[in-house]
Amino acid sequence: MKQSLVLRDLAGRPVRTAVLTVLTALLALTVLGGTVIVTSLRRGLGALESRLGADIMVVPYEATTQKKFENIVLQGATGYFYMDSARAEKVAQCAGIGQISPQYFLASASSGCCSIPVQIIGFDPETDFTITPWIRRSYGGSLQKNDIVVGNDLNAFVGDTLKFYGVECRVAAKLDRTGTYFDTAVFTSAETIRSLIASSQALGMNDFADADPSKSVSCLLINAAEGCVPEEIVNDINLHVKRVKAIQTKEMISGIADGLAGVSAVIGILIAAVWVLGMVILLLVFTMSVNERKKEFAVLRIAGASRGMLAGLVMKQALVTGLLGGIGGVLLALAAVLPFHTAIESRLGLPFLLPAAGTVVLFALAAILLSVLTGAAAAAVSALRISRIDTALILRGEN
Amino acid sequence: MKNNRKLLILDAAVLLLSAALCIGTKLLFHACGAKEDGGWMNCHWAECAVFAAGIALTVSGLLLCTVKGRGQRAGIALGIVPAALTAAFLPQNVIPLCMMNTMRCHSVMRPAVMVLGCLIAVCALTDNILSLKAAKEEDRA
Amino acid sequence: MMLKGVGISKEFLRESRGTNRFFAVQETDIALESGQMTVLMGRSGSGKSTLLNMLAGLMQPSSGHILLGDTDLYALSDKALSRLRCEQIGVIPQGQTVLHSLNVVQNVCLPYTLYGEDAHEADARALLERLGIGALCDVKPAELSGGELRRVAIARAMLRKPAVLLADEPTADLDDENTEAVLGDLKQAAQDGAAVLVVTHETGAERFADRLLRMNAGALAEVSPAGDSGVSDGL
Repeated sequence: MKQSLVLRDLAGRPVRTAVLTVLTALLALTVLGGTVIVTSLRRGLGALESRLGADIMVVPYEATTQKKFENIVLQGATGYFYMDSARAEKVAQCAGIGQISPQYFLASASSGCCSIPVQIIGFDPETDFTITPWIRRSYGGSLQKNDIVVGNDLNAFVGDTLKFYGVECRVAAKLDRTGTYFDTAVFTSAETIRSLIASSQALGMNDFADADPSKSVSCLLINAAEGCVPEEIVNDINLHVKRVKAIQTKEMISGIADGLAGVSAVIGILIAAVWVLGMVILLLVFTMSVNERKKEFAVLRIAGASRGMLAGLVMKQALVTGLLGGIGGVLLALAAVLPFHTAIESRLGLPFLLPAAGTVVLFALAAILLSVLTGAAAAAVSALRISRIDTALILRGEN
Repeated sequence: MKNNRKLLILDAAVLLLSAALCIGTKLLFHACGAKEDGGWMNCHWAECAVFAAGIALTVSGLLLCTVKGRGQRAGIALGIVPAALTAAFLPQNVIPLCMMNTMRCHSVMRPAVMVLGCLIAVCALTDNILSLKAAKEEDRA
Repeated sequence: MMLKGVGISKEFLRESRGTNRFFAVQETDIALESGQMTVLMGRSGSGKSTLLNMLAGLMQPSSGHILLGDTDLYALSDKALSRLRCEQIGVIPQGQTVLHSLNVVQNVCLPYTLYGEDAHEADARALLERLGIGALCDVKPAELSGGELRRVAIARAMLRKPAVLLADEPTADLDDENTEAVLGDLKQAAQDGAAVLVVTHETGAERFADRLLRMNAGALAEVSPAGDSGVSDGL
């Protein structure tokens, strides 16, 4: 019955209860929304780092001047560029290289299955060390001719057939979500992509200039041999091999890391501002409501409530509004962030990988707990004052 | 007394959310635009279907706001629930959307329609329950 | 059971005046006996309410003890004292004292519901009926008049049939008819076995009194020896 006094009092003061609940909801909303977004960006960056999977990338010089390469790898744009295999062989001769593997890029035309072009990436299963380990997580077998592996954001499923330049390709596997350019790309073996390139050429759709597709690669991925410094290899390649550009992946990512740090800072400031403001308003509301309710507390005292019970009443009301507001805010945050994560990702232009469901649930619980605790902390001051209430003096003040 | 006010709020919520679904699919969270050759992609037809469902829901919402009989109201509210859920799952589940999840129809239209549709369903279901309760109380009185 | 004040006084500190200490209640003894209605008269500011608050366990006296039976109220912890007040001491404070978020009958049941006991709602309704506001049981206090609110407070104080009933100006701002009725209710409680103290500055309450006390500038005096129970002059 005492519990129902808490609830009845809350119901009897709808405006105050609504203000407290909405405020705590706002706190929970910002902290959960902000945390999920920042965590997703961190995970996105982490995923990008591990997906790039190489210390160094070597591309034809033209690709870097047109920003083609960065756009493909970092932004998930479509595009292609090629260099002669001879240049690739020269690169391979540089000192300090541990692993080296070529990749082949091709952009599908916006026909057939796909309403917009898709980036197709070919790799050499013999030497590849960046894509194969990732594919292996979702596909055990080896890729046959005209088998493709699709990124998670592509609306195609295992067993489907996609047509590229008139070549029918079977979807052998679908990758887990990475939050990076992997998600919208199609992967296939060097053998398949060569035939795709040839078909596209036959259709007159890709411009290879004078390059011979069977003797071209798009880029080279390199891991430094043990004990070698990637920076030195990069310098070595850029110095000795003409018309290629070697790039340290770490540097490529640093731009993204900067962007992420900026967004994180903004979100952090936002959360802090909302919390400080929320705390102040909560404190005010509790203090005001306690002043306004002094008389009611005196009545309870007369009816036999102990000081502890009065403090308990204030605290319980704070807990109830905190819990209601916390749950409401968390639901709002989840409804805003989870379904719209792709829109947020494209708006931010940064790799974005939502945390696992369990982590989100944990964050949500933490956000609720934090709102409840904040409400309780704001109420504690008032509860302390209430517990020191001088009933006789309050009743006297009535005269 | 108290129930009446709650019902009024719920009626208004159903009507406004339905109208938002209707107008929003065309203006705010529409699907991908036309292709370069002027043709439409799949998602356009999903958008059209959601728009039509939105009109039906808005009309139902108007009925809910104007009909007085408790029993009738409860019936209309209950009818809105499956309609709203159907609208919510029209994009992709009923009418497939575009190829890439990063495209507008996936990233904006589908989640917006989902959230709105589910909200309408929840409001309508609550409306139905409260209406039934009110009808029972009226019978008793 | 008897409520006794032994050698109690209340001293306040006043910082603005020349003499910075003054006695709201000068050292005195008082005894409230079961079945008796004691009326304490005096001008406002004479220390009546202070005495009542001390007796109610709401204000610690500067000296002396308050005994309910053998229990020294101020030797108890706040928790135990609160529980004791809930069960044994009914207080009807000045002014309008209801919780506005509860309806009338919920307000009256407060002394039971506060500690999670059965609400005794039927008793509360019967009591409100007897006090003439039975029709208002399920109404929110905002719709009640001053006299009706006062009766809600009386009903709340009487519901647990406390051994002691302390009423502070229970008839202030009531019309004659309501004053009669309220004093009659309190008298009835005394006849039912409670020790009743009514503090008032209005004349007219004497007619209901079994004993009449007067307070003047903190000094307590028996006006007419209606009973032979020991009442000493203040000081």
